Amino acid sequence: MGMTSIIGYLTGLSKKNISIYDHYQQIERLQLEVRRFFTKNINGENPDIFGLTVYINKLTDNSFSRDDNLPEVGAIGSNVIRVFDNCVRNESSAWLDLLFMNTLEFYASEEFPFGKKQEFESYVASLMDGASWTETDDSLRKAQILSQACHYGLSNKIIDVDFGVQIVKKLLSTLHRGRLFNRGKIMCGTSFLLRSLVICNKFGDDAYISEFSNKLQETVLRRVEIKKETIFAYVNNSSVTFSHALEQIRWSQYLLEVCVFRNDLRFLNAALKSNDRLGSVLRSIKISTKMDIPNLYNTLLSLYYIYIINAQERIYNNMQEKIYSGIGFHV
Amino acid sequence: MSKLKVAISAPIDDNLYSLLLAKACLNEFGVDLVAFVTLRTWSIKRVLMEIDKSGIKLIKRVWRKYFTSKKSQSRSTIIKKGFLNTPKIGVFNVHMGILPKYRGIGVTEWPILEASESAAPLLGVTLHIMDTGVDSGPIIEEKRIMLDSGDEIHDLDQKYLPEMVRLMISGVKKARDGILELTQQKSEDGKQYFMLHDRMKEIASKKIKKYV
Repeated sequence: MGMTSIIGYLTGLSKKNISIYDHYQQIERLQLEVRRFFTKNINGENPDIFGLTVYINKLTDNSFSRDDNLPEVGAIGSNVIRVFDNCVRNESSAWLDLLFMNTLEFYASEEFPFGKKQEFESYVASLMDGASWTETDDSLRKAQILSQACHYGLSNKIIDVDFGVQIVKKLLSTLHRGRLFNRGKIMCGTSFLLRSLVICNKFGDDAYISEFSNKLQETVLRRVEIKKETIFAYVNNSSVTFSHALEQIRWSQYLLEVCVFRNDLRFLNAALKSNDRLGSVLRSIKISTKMDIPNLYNTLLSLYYIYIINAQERIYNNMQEKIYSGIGFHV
Repeated sequence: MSKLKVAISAPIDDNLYSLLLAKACLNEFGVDLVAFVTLRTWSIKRVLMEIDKSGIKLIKRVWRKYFTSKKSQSRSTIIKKGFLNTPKIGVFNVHMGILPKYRGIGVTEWPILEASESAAPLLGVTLHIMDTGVDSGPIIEEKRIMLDSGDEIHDLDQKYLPEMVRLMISGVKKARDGILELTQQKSEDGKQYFMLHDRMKEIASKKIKKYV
């Protein structure tokens, strides 16, 4: 460990713990910066929310090239700000739901077959062939896209639960637990698989899925609370990357979903801790109005952060009401 | 009649619970306190051992314990199998929660958070024999604890202390008299809990007032 890392580590020790007021302050600052960024860079006449999603997808996918025609973003439309505003005020989560669907290039086309279930199903089925977490980069990439497509399809009821179960089983068959919790190496996309598992467990009746899902939830909880894998605890870690932070937020989302599904406060407790660690990282993020890649990364990360803290607070407040009204939480 | 040989393992040399227990064992007929094992808080041997165990994280722990306002949090440690297998009868532990329902840590607060208004929180202490899992060994005895007026979340530990000593001595007496009855735990009968986030603790400290 170099002297810089030691000094960084010691400086980190003196940082005060992040409170919810710190989160809110941070959200306020980031909202302001994101709005400025959008106002400056998005001013087209014909709003098209999906266009911006495509750009952000490309960024999260690392397939964005500096040669891509950035000014086209200007044609996306001014109502993105309105949608974004609605979203941060919790009036609509549609925009962020779209963002959560990153890397699904299929969505990029304006001819995306909304309501055409069969078309989407065959697309997903085509991804199943050769998707694997353990083999080549290509198959890993397929597994990542498949898990995201599966989650999107399930959560938007485009694919039915039985098909979702098939996909989840296929993905799980190649995912060794040691790879799911891989210290130092992030497995982007696994959060979508776990979240699909929750949906299948909730709406399906597959005994294997139910048992596996419950066991896995306990394992994840222990990892978040005790082991603190790189993905969950990267404070003071110089190798923090955009992908790490984004996947961390998705895992937090998973914890919150399990909390609601199982009515189990332990998962909310873990999400609170996980999001506090995240808050420390977001402190260092600054967004200028310049349209460049770091700014777009930070904008997206900020949107996710705002989303997850809002989601956390909705559940926390709901839980508080239940507790004070005496309903109780025994499962 | 031969005496029951007892050794106490204390986390630190001035741990009140361990000292009270040692005193109770010394006063108990037919019980021979043969060892009181502890680690000195500050000794070269301990510091070296901790460095070996925790590495750079030790600085963080020391910082939190001595230089921040935040109280140090108890850390659960998994005991090695060799240690657990050494005593003839087993290693006894008093867990500050009702087993098998509440395993892990923070179990004085979690039952308060989870309880419905109609039922009192499931608080108490459980004597069990330790195994390699987290509070999963066979149960010897438990004692429920009721909340009294004026009880606060932050001083529940003090309320538990005498009960913990009493329960341990009761178990020691049963072992001495050869009447230990063990109840095996099933993992599906309970859950593992973890340290509460400050905001959850805040709710628990408000909610406790409903029961006192």
